[in-house]
Amino acid sequence: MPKRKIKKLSISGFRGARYPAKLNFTNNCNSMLIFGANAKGKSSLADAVEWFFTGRIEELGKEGCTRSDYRHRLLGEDEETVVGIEFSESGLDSNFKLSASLRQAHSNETEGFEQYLEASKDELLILRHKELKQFVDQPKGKKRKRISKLIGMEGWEKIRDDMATVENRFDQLLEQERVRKEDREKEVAQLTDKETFSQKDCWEFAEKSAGVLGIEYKIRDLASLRKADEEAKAATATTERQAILAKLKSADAVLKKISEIPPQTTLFAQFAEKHNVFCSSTEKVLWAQLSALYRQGKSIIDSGYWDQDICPLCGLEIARQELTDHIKKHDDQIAEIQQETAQLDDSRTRAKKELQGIGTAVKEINDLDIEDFKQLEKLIISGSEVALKLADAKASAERRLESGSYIDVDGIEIDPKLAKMIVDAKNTLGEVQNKLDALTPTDAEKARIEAFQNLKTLSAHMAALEKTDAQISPLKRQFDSMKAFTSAFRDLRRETMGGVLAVISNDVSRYFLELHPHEGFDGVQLKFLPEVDGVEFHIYYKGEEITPPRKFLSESYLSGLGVCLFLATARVFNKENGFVVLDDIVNSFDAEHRADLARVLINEFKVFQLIVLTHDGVWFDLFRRLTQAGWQYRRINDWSYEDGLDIEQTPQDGLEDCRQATESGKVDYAAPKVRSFMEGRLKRLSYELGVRMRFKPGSMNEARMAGELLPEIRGYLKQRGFLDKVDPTCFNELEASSFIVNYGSHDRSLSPDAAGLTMGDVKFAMQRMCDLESLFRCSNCGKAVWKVRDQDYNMNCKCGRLSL
Amino acid sequence: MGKRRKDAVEKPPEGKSAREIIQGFFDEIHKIDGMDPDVASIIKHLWAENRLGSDELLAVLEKERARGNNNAKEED
Repeated sequence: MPKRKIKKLSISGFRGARYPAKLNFTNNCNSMLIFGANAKGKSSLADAVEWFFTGRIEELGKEGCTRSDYRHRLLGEDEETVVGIEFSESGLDSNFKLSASLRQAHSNETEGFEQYLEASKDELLILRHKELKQFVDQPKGKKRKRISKLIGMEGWEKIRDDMATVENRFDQLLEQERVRKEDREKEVAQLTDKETFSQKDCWEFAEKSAGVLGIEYKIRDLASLRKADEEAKAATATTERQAILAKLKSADAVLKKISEIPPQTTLFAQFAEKHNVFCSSTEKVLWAQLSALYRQGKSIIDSGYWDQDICPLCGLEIARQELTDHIKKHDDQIAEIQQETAQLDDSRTRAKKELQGIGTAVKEINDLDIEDFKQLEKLIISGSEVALKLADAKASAERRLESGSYIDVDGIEIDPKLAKMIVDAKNTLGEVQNKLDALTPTDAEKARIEAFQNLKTLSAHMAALEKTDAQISPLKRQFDSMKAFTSAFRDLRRETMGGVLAVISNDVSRYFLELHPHEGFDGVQLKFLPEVDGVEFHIYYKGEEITPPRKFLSESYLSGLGVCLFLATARVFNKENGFVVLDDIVNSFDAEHRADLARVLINEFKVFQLIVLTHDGVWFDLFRRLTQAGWQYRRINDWSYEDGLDIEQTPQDGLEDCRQATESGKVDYAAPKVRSFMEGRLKRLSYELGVRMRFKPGSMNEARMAGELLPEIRGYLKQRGFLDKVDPTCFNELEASSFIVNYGSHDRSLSPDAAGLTMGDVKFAMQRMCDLESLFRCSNCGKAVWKVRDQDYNMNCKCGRLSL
Repeated sequence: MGKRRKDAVEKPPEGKSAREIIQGFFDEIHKIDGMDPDVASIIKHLWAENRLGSDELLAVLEKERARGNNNAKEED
């Protein structure tokens, strides 16, 4: 499918274009060079293309402009901003409109157009002089990102990062498993009394241990080790003995603990004594009983809400002050009592803890799992008696001071019972220890026990190692796969990026060398730098490689590099569009290289449609002289806030524009159009006829108006005797019309109505201009009188009937 | 380990889009030297479903390992 080019671009009510302005690239979609002085609305054309394709103008957005700023300020509520483009593929033609309510939409709603628009959004269509060095100046990583985006590789980085994350995670997991395995192997090596782990040593060790237990067969793997372990367990005699020993050792520990209990309940006795001293004072007991009540009464009085002369507690009549004084008087006494009761409570807590400790020991006696001990029976009985006395003692410890009752420690009789229990425990302990001594294994038994335990431990270790291996194996498989993937993907990315950069580099280098011929440059290369994941230019100058380019290149050269890169990437990556807009890019070049830039654009981009905007008049003329077929040239004649853009047109387009303007009914729109049309046509006539005029330098020559051109043409024709052959009336009428139209379009302070300028006047002027032109066209062959012309400007039409 | 066989993924021919190149790569990942077929299938599957992220892949591969361990236990 051929890349799309532009046949026609029209803008209206957009930015600086108040009224419709058109660029007709013809059905051939020619390239076009457009000249316009600064502030004449050139950038509106580039902005229009950007807005059409993206719905926004990025550069304006950066400066805080919004959609409302795209509309011309003088547009009415019912007028729309419109940018229309006719493409080489007619099904894509569309008008992009922005209403006063700032709703914007394309007139073309076909799926094909939507797809085309979407695909075009990532293409390089416009290069502005501000953006020339943007890419060149970016850091390497950003350059790589930009290129990645252009070639649709931006998602590749995420895949790379994600897969690297998975690889790293597996690496960590593997490391954890390896450490675990190493630790386990160290333990096994220690068990087998070797410096390092080896399976052979393990099996030999297991065989040796099994041999001690009388298990005689080869152990060569975990299965045979497990079997040996099971057989060792089956040696029940060993396990029963172990069980008895375990029970005896447990009993030994309990009995030792009971034997060490003090034979007297010291803390309980201390508490009982303090309690009894307190209770011996009736006054203290009374205050202990009343203290809570007094405190409550005091808080009621202190709250201030009680204002009656009645006691709030007993209801007796009493003066409030007297009541307050009474409570205050006893307050200190109550505080003293409370301090004493707090100390007693502390003593009570310690006594209860002591009794609880004895209770726990008694309970452990009942839990002893041993039999056939004579003293044990006595111990159980004495323990039961202690338990009974403990219950009485605990109840005593709970007794409150307020009760005023005494605690009779001697009556409780806990200490004698406790002492007896301790003696019985010591006796039982002696019996247990005798039994334990009797059960101590012989050396041979010890060896069997050790062998059994070694087999058991080794079996557990080897099973754990096998489990770890089972986890490591698939993990390693996955890790290796991820490693292989990331490595292959890294290669693919490097190759793809490298391939793309090679293609771009070739073009960039060729363009750059054309821009700077015979200056010592050998080439330019864009390189992918995997170590920093970036892209950078490398300049080759007189055999030396220089990077980054800013080290060596001046601003103008960097701009050149920017243009070369833009054009190269557009050529490679623009799949949908065969046009690009270059907005004032020559602005950044030094004069030395202007011609080279024109030459590169003309020669290297013949297949492209270039829309080149410039404010450099010299470059414009130079460019015109260098170009051949396929190019058109336009000047932006004028721009004003009220009238917008006035772009030079072909005769046919100019006349068509004028006709449309006169049909719009807007005199202030049509008058400048017709004036511009007249001036353009008169300049063209002057040129073709060879009319000589007074010298005017530079742009003043181009700025001649109809009032100056007409008399010159008329004088020339009179001199050549041409006016004798034709009806000269139209000259007079045109002179009058040009004056009126000129007046109406230039003097904005004078409204068209006030000036008396009507659409009739405008149409009359346009028609007279057409009449004048028709004087120079042969009615027989239809060709202009300058069709055949010699160097002395003797001329005639094709058939020779009309001559000058 | 990690090196691709020379014929595994050819250098992308000019004219192929980045999307076509990466699709070609995923189509052929089982040929990468050192790549386990099961892992290749999982990656391909997630890529086809546009779910190829680190979290997703880690979870699926962990499940695959667990499944392998369970099968091994059953065999025991």
